[in-house]
Amino acid sequence: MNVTPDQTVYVDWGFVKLNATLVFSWLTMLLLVLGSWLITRRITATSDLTPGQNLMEVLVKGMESQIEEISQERPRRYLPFVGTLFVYIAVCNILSVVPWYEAPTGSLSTTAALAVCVFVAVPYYGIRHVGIGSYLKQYVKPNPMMLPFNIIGELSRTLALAVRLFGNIMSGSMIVAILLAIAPLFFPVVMHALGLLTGLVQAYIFAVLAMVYIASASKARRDKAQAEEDSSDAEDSEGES
Amino acid sequence: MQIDWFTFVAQIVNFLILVVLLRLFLYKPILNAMRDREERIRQRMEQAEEREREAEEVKQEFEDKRDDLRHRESEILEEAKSEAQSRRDELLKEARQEAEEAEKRWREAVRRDKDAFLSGLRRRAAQELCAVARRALADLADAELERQVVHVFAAKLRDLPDDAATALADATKDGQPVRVRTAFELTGDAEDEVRQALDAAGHSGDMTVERDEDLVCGLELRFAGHRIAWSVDGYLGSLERRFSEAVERSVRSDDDGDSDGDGKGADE
Repeated sequence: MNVTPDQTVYVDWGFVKLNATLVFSWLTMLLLVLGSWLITRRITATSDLTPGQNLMEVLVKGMESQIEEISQERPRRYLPFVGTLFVYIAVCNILSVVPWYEAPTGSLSTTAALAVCVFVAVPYYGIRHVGIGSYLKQYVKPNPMMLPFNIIGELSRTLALAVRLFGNIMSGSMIVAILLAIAPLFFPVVMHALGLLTGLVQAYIFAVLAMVYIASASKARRDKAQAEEDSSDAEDSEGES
Repeated sequence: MQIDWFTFVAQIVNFLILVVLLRLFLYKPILNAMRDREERIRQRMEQAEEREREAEEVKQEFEDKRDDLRHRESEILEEAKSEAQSRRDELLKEARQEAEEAEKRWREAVRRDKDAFLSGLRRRAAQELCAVARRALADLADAELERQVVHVFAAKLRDLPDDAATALADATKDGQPVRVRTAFELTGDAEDEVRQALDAAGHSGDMTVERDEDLVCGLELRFAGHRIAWSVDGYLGSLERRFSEAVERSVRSDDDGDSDGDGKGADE
């Protein structure tokens, strides 16, 4: 058996290989986009909702409030990226209970790709938000000696993101496969149910961590604004005294 | 277990495509719909508040009107009452006036009845008196009453006061006739006696004689606004006065005893 869907190759053109990861990714993407399109095609602003729209609204609103809670900012600019991370990972993990479906998140290539996306998104949002100078200054805080540690931290958390998700999903499917060999009745079902839970939890963790990293990168401006506010307060009090 | 670099790159691209697609097909429409709905709800709430305010205003207006009407109601009632009161007073006044007028008419009728009665009484009393006197004179003095009346009248003419005598003479001068009215037929002697008396008084003109029963056993001479007469009238006058007083008294006592008397008592 294959540990990762990367190893299930359908077509091989040398470097370019059409493996199960890509196929099921596309399948999942198709499902997501088609489902969204079908639901939002007949979207209405009245209170007369279709159940699908209701579900989508609950989902989007829930993600929005989560992002707002973490970033303490207007969530709209982060929603497409962070929301898609959550939805994609969650749907992949949930679909892993479907027979013959191999979750793309069980492949280190996919999780690494997602982690790299987060790794790029952090400076992208940070620079857009606070400017390149403020963003880069964060690496030498609290003093320049910390620069290497900050860079290592940045890299290691990206690695941790990728490996955590991969490890969890891969181990889940591995356990099911092993249990299937040992005790083919009942136990795999229980483990699948557990897998659903861990899958959702992992999706949530991945998205929340991504949001936390992005938010901490744009924290500089908030700190600066806070510092300016404090100093003006101090000046005011001095003037008063 | 290693990273397949082609898959890695492909998954990055896939993910970015998915972000764009979901943004297009999921987040945008859903968020827009939710925003629109919030906007609609906000508008509806505002409308509802507006309507509530309007309803409150209309309610207030109607309450004011109702209070006003209530107020007016009592006013109208008050007006009607006072009108009824004044109408009642008016009617009462009219009724009182009518009653007074009726009483006045009745009193007038009583007075007329009394007058008629008294005049009738007077005439009859005079006639009776004359008859009695005549018979008495005829029986006692063996002379006719009329004759005696003429004697008295003639004596009166002879003893005319000066101004009357002058007037009589003036009237004669103008050639105006004197009129003698009698209650009885003058005999030739009696007429001669009257003529002689006139002559003595200085009258030489014509004399006309007329009968007038009303004179009641008497004679009367009229000329140029002067009047010389003798009749039982003078005597009857006091009699009539006394009768009148007696009748008056009886009428008054009838009035006191019978407030809605219809004059019958006076007739009786």
